[in-house]
Amino acid sequence: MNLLMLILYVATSMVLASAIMYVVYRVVSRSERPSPEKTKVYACGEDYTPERASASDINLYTAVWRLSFRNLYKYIREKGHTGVLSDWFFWMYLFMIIALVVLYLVSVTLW
Amino acid sequence: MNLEYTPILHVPALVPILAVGSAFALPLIHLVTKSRKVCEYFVVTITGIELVLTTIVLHLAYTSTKPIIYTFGAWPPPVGIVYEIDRFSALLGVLAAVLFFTAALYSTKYLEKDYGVEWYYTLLLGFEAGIVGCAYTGDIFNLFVMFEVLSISAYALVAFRKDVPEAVEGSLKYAIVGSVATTIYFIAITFIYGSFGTLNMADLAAKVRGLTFPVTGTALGNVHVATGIALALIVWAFSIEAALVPNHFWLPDAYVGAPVTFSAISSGAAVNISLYIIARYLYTILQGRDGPAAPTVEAVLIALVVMGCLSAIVGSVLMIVQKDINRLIAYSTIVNSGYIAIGLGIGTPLGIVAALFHMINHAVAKALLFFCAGNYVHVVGSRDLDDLAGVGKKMPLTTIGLVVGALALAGVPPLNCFMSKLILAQALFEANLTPLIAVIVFASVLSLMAYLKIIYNVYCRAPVKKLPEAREHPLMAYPVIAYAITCIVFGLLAPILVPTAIEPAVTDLLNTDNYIKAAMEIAEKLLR
Repeated sequence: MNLLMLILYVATSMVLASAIMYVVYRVVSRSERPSPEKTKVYACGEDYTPERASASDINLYTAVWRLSFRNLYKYIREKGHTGVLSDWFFWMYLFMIIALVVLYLVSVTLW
Repeated sequence: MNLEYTPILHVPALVPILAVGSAFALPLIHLVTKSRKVCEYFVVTITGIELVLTTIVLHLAYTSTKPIIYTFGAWPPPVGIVYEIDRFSALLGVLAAVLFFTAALYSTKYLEKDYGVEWYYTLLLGFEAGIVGCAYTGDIFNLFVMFEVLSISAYALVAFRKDVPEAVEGSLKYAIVGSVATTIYFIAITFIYGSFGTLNMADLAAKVRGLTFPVTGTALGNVHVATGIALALIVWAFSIEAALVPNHFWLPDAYVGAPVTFSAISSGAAVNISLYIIARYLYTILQGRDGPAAPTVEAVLIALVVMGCLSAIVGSVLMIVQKDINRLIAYSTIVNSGYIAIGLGIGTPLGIVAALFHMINHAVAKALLFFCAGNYVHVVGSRDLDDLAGVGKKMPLTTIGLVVGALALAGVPPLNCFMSKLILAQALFEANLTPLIAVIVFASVLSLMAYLKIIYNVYCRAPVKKLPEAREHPLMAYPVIAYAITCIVFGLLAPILVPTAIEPAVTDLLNTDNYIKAAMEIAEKLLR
């Protein structure tokens, strides 16, 4: 069977299975909305607004990622992504010189 | 001269000429009418006509057995400028026209708070002329001219909001880097012209094979050295517009302050055109790794795979830590440009099929994401993800579009980008490059985390500040809905689209015999 068709069959079955499970869940679960008391944010008696309860972008999982690879980001930022044109051109011209030397040698010796 | 001229044969030439002519006419129209509405109607109409014309060209290309040739002024190739359009270039032409038409429609509301829109629309039409011209041309110097038209329009479009410091800074940086790229491409042309004695692509392909072409005969000088040096410069120059690592630095800075319509078109059309030009040189002119220039081509293919992998990794690693919605999506362009470069670098027909299919899918999904971002920013007035908290609930249509676009780009089945990534993985597997599939998976996982960050902020979070009550205008919602549906439909129809549309286009790109023969026949007829 064509690989793309296979993917379509698998995806369709997953969507159908999820839809059936959702319908079953809706039928089985109680339909009434939870009381406001249940949805209220509780923080040990402190007054806590929903805005404060949701994590800001900086505190999302990406912060963990950024901290875990702090050296990698430091390297990428300080070596190339400084926003300074001369830093960009260092890498760009380095690549150009390598490409020129390699392709010149390949063309002269192997072609 | 017994050529059967029918009006429809002039359509390929009409596409860029109409766009350039309209670009020059627009400031005059505004000067006379002083009406913003007239400018908007004019641009939407012209981009609509461009879409119809490119569709006719696509129809001609797909119903013909050989590339369409248009000789300007009936000068025979290689003397005059020639358009040589095969299915590959016709497909990219239509893709660009679709992006421009939707962008023009979207801009009518998106730029309602801006002034001087007549200049924006003038540049937009110039940008379209450049992109379609690059796709259609069969002449490497005309390619340079059209690429300049594209680039100059692009630099100015980035700086359209000249009161925004980031826009001016991004534009200046883009202009400096881009000007170096076009100059380097010009130097590459001098190497080619000096050794081959021609600028016509079909003539160049013939000379690489050692064939004699009408008027120019055989090559003049040492084509080996010239090809090696020129190819190095060409790949370097076009990898800048394609934003491949290490030539990618300009892109995030340019996209941050630019109108999202520019970012959508640049991501979907300009990046594609640059990669297409590299592919045209490698596979049609130099005839891939089976052609006479095999060692040189092989070295470039390896470089493309390496640059593609680096782009996917660096782009996704940086994407995940962005706070600015435009910058985050901009890094995603670097990631996807990397996937396309990997596909082109594999060097097999399946790899190029994956690359072309991903060019189309990425263009659609990226335009969708940029338009969604534009809708949010238009309402909130900030690009910061924290400021956009909760806005998604107020704009459900945009949020549905955002989710579809994000999942498509992250590679969730059965959406369109998943299908092209799957073909890419299959191509890597068949080329014994299986470990590189891990790079695609790694970049896709990081990208998904970054996209989820946007969805979390705009939809799941409670607003951190009072949000305006405004919702998306229908003219800003329709393109989002259309592109979201396209993402789903292209995924579902992939088993039909790939063999009927993508594979024939790739066959044309690789069919150098046909490309040379079509130009040679016309040259001989016109010289008779």
